[in-house]
Amino acid sequence: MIKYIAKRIVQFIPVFLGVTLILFVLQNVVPGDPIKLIAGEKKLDEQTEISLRAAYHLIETDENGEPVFDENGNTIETPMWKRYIQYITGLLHGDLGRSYQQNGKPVAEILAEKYPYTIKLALVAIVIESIIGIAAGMISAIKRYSAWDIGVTTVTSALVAMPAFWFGMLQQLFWGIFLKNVTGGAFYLPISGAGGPHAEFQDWAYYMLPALTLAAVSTAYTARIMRSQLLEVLNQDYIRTARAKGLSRKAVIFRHALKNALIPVVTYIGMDFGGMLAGAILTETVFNWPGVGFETYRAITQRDWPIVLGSVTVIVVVVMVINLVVDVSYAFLDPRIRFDGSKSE
Amino acid sequence: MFGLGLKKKNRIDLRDTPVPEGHHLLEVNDLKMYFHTQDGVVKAVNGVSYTLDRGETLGVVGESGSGKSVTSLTIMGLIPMPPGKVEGGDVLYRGKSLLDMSEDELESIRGNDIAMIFQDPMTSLNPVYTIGRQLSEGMRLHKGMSKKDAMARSVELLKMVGIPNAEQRVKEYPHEFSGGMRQRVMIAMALACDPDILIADEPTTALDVTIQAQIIELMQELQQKNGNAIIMITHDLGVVADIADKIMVMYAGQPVEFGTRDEIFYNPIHPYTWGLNRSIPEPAIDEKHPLTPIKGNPPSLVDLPEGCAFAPRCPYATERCRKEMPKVYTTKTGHYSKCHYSADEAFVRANAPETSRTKAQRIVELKGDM
Repeated sequence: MIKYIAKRIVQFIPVFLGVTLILFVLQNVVPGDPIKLIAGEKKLDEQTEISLRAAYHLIETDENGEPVFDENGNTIETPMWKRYIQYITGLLHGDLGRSYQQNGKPVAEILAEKYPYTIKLALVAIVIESIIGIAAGMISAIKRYSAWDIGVTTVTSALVAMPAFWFGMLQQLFWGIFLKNVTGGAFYLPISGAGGPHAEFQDWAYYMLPALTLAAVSTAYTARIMRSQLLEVLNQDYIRTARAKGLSRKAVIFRHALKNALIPVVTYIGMDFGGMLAGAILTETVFNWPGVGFETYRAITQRDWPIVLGSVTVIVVVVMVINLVVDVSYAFLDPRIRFDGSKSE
Repeated sequence: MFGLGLKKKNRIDLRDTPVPEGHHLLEVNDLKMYFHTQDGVVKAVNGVSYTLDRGETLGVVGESGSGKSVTSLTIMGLIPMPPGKVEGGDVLYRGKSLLDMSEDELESIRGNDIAMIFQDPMTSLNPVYTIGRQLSEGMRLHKGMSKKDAMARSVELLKMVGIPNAEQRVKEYPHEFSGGMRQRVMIAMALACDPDILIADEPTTALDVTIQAQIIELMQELQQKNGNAIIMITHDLGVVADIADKIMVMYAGQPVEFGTRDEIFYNPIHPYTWGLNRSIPEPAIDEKHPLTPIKGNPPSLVDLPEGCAFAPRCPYATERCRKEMPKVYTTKTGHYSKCHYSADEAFVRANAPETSRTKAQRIVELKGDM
């Protein structure tokens, strides 16, 4: 097991280098000069421009960070490969670079501010997804073709087909505006922001709509996977064996069927959690949620490349780690999985 | 969190009640199990009757789809209803109807008084639990054993079915066992609560020949020790010839002939049984006497012929067979057959295949000539 985990971590290295390289190149091939971007409408004097370029490692500098000039008195542009190496070296020291905006605030600092919001939202969403998704799927499978089953199947089909941002807006309309009008302002939910000391609502209220929106599609998928898996498992010969032993239907479902049916569901939920930690750009943007997703969206629209690059780098690491945790958790559910690289049968 | 249901209110204990006067251990009377499907009503079991006593072995033979397994699953109450529906008849265990019992009562019979070994050992064990846990389950449920006692008994059971290193193996998972080993585990599981009746549904079909013999011997040994009854479902006449006291031959959901082993093998009176007899390979005189298969296929159970179900494939079928459903003809010894002509001794004598006994004589003569 330890050997397997070590092997997987070693495999992270090429993936990590590949992703950062692609992003770094993309960032550099899109047109536009970052320094002009920082300046905006203002005209920079030559001295400021040179010191900015030096600060963002765009031109060659000496050990003290002072720009180096060639024989004609011009600055020397740092080649891209050299800047990539500088970037990776920085990464290994926890330096993700600095924002082109926000007064050149370090990217690591910005992400550290935003990540807690994303993590908290993802946790709430994953709890909703696991509880409602698994329960709905189980009821649907156990009471197959009943009104419950038809209800669950219909609702999940609708949710799967709905884009997250549209579902989010519908929720804002219903919970935030319609309900407020109908109850005369007595009851409604906040439709944007994440709360705080001076907010109108208590903090939990702010989680409701974004978490529901974020969980909606995944809950529908979880319910559908759970339903089909449980139905499949209930048809297996070993379920008949358990019944033949004299176990009650309930004991058979909870003891024999559930564990087998959960294996693919756990995989899906785990992967999905990884995705949510990557920041839900659509949901966070619709609800003005101050997480990494919203920050990434903002950075993309404003060409704040260091933030885009930095958040994607962090996301890559998070997703890889979550996937590893999911794979390792297999072994606890399915004894046939052994980490010598094969599934024995 | 989810217990085994040990505190069940409606447990019944029939094991120690003696079989009532005039009853057998197990009586199946004119049992009919139909499946209501979109294509129509499948008459999977259509009037099966037999009796079984302690220490006896009943062999049930027939082609695939003749209703052998469904009969046993009906006795166990393991047919999902719907689509299945009991359309008539009864199953009495120690004089008490299994079909009238509540689900709770049935659960206390299943695995305890009547246990079943299933056909496919590769898929009949739960892959995510250890062998020991799966073996213990029934004993903890029915005998109220502690986890530790049940585990100790599981080790004993594994030893009994000939699994070496049982103390270690009990902690392993099904995928770590071979097919033959898993079938032994299935047998151990069925025997865990010393059942009165052991139903074995083609227990050796999935196994290779050397293992087959071992498994059958094992079941016989245990029967001698425990005195339980066995229902052996198979399409292998060789297996029933070895161990059955009584044999029921099934065709298209109906028993076509029922009798003692000797009656079925030496004095069969139904043309279908003759056909089965003729298709037993005869190693000694292979070249001169090729196997005679029964031509054609069994009828669809949704759309049975008007008269005798076997008539379309029967070489002796007459107009009467095609029009009129034959009645059961029973001899003095209880040997019965569902054929218009079984009572006609001349017809039987003229058309029955030579029996093993006469065959054996002829082989001896044949070999003497050479």
